[in-house]
Amino acid sequence: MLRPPGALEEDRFLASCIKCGQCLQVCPPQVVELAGIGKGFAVGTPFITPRQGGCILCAGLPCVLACPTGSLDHALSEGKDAKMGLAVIKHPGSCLAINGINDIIFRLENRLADKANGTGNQSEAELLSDIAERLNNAENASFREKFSLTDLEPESVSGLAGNLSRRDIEWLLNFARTTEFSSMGCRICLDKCPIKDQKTIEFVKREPLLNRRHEKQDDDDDHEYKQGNHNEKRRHGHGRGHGRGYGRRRAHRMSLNHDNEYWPVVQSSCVGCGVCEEKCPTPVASIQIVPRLE
Amino acid sequence: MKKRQQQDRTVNAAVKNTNENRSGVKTFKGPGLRKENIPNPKHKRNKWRNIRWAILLFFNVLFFASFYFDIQVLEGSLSASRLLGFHLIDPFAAIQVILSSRILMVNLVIGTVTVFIIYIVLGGRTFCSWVCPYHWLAELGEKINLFLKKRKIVRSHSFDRKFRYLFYALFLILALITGFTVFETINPVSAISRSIVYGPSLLLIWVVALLVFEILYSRRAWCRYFCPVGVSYQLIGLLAPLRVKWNKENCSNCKRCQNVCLVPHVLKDSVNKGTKEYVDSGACTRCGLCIDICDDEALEFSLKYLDKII
Ligand code: SF4
Ligand code: SF4
Ligand code: SF4
Ligand code: SF4
Ligand code: SF4
Repeated sequence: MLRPPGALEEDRFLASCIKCGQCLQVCPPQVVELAGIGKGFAVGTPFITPRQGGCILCAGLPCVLACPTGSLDHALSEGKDAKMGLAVIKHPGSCLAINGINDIIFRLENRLADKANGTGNQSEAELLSDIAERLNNAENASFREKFSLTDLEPESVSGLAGNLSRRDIEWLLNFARTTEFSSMGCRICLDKCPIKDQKTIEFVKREPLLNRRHEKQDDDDDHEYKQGNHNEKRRHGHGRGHGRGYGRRRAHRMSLNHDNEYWPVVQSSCVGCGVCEEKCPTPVASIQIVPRLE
Repeated sequence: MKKRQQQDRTVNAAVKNTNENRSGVKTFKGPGLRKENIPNPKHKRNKWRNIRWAILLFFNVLFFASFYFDIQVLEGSLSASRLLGFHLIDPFAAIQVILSSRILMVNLVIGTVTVFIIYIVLGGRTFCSWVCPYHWLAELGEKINLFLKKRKIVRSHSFDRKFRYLFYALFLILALITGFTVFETINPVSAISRSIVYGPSLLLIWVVALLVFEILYSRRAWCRYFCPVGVSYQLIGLLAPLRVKWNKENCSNCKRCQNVCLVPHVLKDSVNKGTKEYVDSGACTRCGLCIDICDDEALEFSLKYLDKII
């Protein structure tokens, strides 16, 4: 079980937790639950299910301060020093970064399928604000025009959520395919990670270690084109916006381009808060939290 | 193993001592000085029970509301909480935690000491009858049990009330040797409290089982014979001046007080032997049921040692 930050090592945690639930009460995003009867001696103790909601290591760590027994160790004062668990790429086969697939496009496609089936509960608000965040000036303008918005403040964007028709999503999908960011593989886990001052996940270019999901079918033209981009990417280095340089004309084929494929490598600065597992857009989280072995 | 229930014994004794005098009025023998029952017409039958239930429900609702409506007055549950920011900890849970984890956390000590002081003022086992949600459920169950008994559908059984102390010691030893707060796993009090605050848990099945046992087999069995939570408060109660006072002049020896009491033996030194003015046992929960039932008004809440000074 993933415990709130500062939790003592499991045996000592079980010995000291008085099962009062105060850590649960003070948690702003309400991600802490109390264990049920099936957990034996752990009944009534707090845990976090990262896929349902990771700990955002909120300022001041109120859960730690609330804990009367020291089960959540008061020695911990900053979120970045927590050691809750460790993220691992549990399902590399589905990881969008490894497959060079852009997360916005992937999520919009899923949203569309959900809409068609009348299912799905993905947060449209979050999807929209993620899109808005990544637009450049020109794209920003056409996005605002489409939805007749005056600005792209989070309130106005999330106001759209829930009212999107199937056609709106189709529009968004086509629009997203033309954007600059469309060629960049998923970086959601890093983007949403609450640890900001250290890079918890490095995206490393590697020779593919897996069976390819897509086979190269590109002609020579494409090949040269890719080479060019490859160099360009080297110049730009890693980081946001390194998709720059990919022609929009070809954007929809970029997922076939192995140059977009990066391997997320979790660094030791990861605290295991679980936000990445919560936010990973693949149907089963590709990145998951495992217990941290000292 | 089973002892004759204290209460049944005293009831029988009361019946044995019953005489009907010439005018047809029942009289009883005992240390009380009244020859017959002289009800005070102004006596309110359920006064203390009503006040007590209101307070008990108030605090349990306050726990719920502090979280649900985020009013943050009484946060946590009955094992540990903060009242306006001040830590409060159940002493039995606290000792288990200290023994099992061998950590002495400042807040834990502060919370336990605060509870200790509060209940010295309020009367020790007042926790049981004025705060504990199980007590309230058990009181309702007791009514059913008495009803069934009257109809001769169930019979009474009793256990040795020393089990409570045995359990207290046993679970502390278990905490020490296993490194788990074993009793907290099955503690019905905190299970109910957590369910009130955080939503129902399956542990409530165990609580219901206890209640059914009390209703069908042995009146108020958990609180009387087993619950170790109340034992800490009982020890605190030994020091608490708030006690039930017995007024010999008004007592007509009817023993109805012992009929309604959770722990009838605590009244023995007064109403059976006449040797004590105050109910000195820490086991008395200061519930006031005896005061309510006694329309001779021989019983009242009073502050031992202090009432003379004030
Ligand atoms: S640090 Fe995490 S678990 Fe603790 S209160 Fe904040 S979000 Fe909740
Ligand atoms: S606040 Fe501490 S003692 Fe209470 S449930 Fe949470 S971890 Fe356990
Ligand atoms: S969020 Fe999930 S899919 Fe995206 S890069 Fe991270 S692990 Fe891969
Ligand atoms: S990598 Fe994931 S688990 Fe680790 S700190 Fe970041 S969001 Fe939390
Ligand atoms: S002696 Fe009276 S106040 Fe004390 S527990 Fe018995 S009935 Fe309640």
